[in-house]
Amino acid sequence: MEAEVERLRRLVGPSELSYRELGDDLAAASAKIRDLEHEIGRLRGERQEIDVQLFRARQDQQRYQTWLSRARRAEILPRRVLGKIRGALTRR
Amino acid sequence: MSDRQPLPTLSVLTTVYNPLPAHLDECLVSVRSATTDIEHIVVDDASTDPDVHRRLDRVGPHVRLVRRAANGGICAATADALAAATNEWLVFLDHDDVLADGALDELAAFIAQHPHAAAVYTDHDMIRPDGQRVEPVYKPDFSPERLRHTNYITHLLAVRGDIAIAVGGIRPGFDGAQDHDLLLRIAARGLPIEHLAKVLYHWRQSPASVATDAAAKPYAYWSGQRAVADHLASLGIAAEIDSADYAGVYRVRRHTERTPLVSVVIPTDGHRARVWGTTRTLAVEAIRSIATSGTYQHLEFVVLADPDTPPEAIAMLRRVDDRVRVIESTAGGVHASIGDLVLLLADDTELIAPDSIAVMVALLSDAPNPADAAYGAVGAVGAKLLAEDGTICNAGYVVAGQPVAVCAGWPGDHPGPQRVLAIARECSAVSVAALMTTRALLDEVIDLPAATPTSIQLCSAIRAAGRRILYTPDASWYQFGLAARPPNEHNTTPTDPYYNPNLTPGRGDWLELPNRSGAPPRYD
Repeated sequence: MEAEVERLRRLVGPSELSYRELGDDLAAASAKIRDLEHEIGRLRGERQEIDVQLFRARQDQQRYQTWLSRARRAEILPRRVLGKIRGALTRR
Repeated sequence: MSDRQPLPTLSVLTTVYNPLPAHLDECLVSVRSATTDIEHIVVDDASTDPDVHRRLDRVGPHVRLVRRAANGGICAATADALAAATNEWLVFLDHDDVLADGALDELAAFIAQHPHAAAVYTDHDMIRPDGQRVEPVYKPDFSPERLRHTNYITHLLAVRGDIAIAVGGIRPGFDGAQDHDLLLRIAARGLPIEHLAKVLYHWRQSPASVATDAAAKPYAYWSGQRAVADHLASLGIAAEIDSADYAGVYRVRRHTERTPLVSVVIPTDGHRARVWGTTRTLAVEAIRSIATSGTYQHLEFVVLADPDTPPEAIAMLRRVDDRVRVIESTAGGVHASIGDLVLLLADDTELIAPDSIAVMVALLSDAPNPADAAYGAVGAVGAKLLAEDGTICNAGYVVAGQPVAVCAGWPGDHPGPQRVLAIARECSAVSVAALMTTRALLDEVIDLPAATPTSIQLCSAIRAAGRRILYTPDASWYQFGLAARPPNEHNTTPTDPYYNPNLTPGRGDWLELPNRSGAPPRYD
């Protein structure tokens, strides 16, 4: 029986070996794809994180601009009042 | 009006050792503005700077100054301050930090509204060296497991004086982590710890401060590590505590003698898909990854095969491991499993960390203890799920507004805002793609034959039963090709206790709402 198995193995030997090698190649290729996917994922993840920072910066900028326009209005108001008083005094 | 609680009296405790006089001045002035009944205990821990002495000589009558003859470190000085305090509540303020305007008044009002509280903490932000206030830190409501992994509370902390004394006060030998140690001892007794979600403390980033560089005081983290070890030992939890990859973060690895049978329940339709360039029958590889690389082996695999599952897929599933049972029906299948613990697992997964199941089992196996009795035992544990490209697919959900996965799409090894991706912590929901719970709880909370619950439904039911839900980064799987935002997930609560009302709802990235911290915008 064992001799028969050995005889059959000799017959299919190269194919069996090739099959194993193909399997190993496939596993190595798959691992390579996984590594590349992970590299892309790392970049994608960094972009995602930067998006959050950008959103935060825009939010801060909007807030700053609101604050700035209020400050400008507050600055202009006394000037206008003063101008009106000055105008009234000049007219007299 | 008659039901209004009387305001508590507060003792602010500040230990002083050679701060910049200008910073000390700001600190002292910030306390003086309080209108509530306070005393400010200032303990000079034998400062050597004559300018500090001169400044302390000029303190007002509301300050009680205690001068130590010799420098004894922060624990000894804080213990002296505690001994000198006469008011009901103790408020801890570092010598170069600043209280927000009205902080003590707001704190007193909050305590009056929460008369049962043993400790109260608030949010804080940072003061940069140029004086700008930046980086508000918005914290979750009390999160006991998170506190075991990092002192997320820090400032502002107020503790009821009688409770501080009852749990042993400030213990010597925990310098730099004395507040963490005190909190852990309060938590070990299961006492209520409340959160006031407002920035009431400005923490100065000085070069020697932990606020600037978490590695500036390594001894603080060694002390913290010992405090966590003591806390767990007092609860009868056997665990090994290491410092994690991030300063101030501890890695808690529980040891359990228990090895209960875990039923890995995998619903599938026998779907085949390409993953990393090769085609696989998803459920087969999900099982194979656990059977071949997992360290926990007391398992049974219960595959709930959809009626559409191809016969060849069922044949492959039966061959993949001799512990596999295929049930050709998805309805009621969980009840066919026999394990004390049940791991609900999506079929499009692959195990990453070999001891993931052991980690989850250990988190569900704490012996009964006072903390669990008060805060709820662990009801479910969710894993860190990575997408095919290694980015975060799920690390728990934020359920404020539309439920959303925490930091979905971020790099898989990113610690996340406030280290939320790197520590085990409570959250409102975790993904059913890799969720472990107990059979008893499943039977109690959910009528499984009726429907396959979504993550939010199942986790809401578990939380409604008074249990906590944990996310752990130490258990991890790949989950292939699923959207981060879960379909058909409905939210019933507008807030999430493990997020913060100052953070934007419907986002899982801790983005602050504008105008919440009182800090001016940053223009670096």
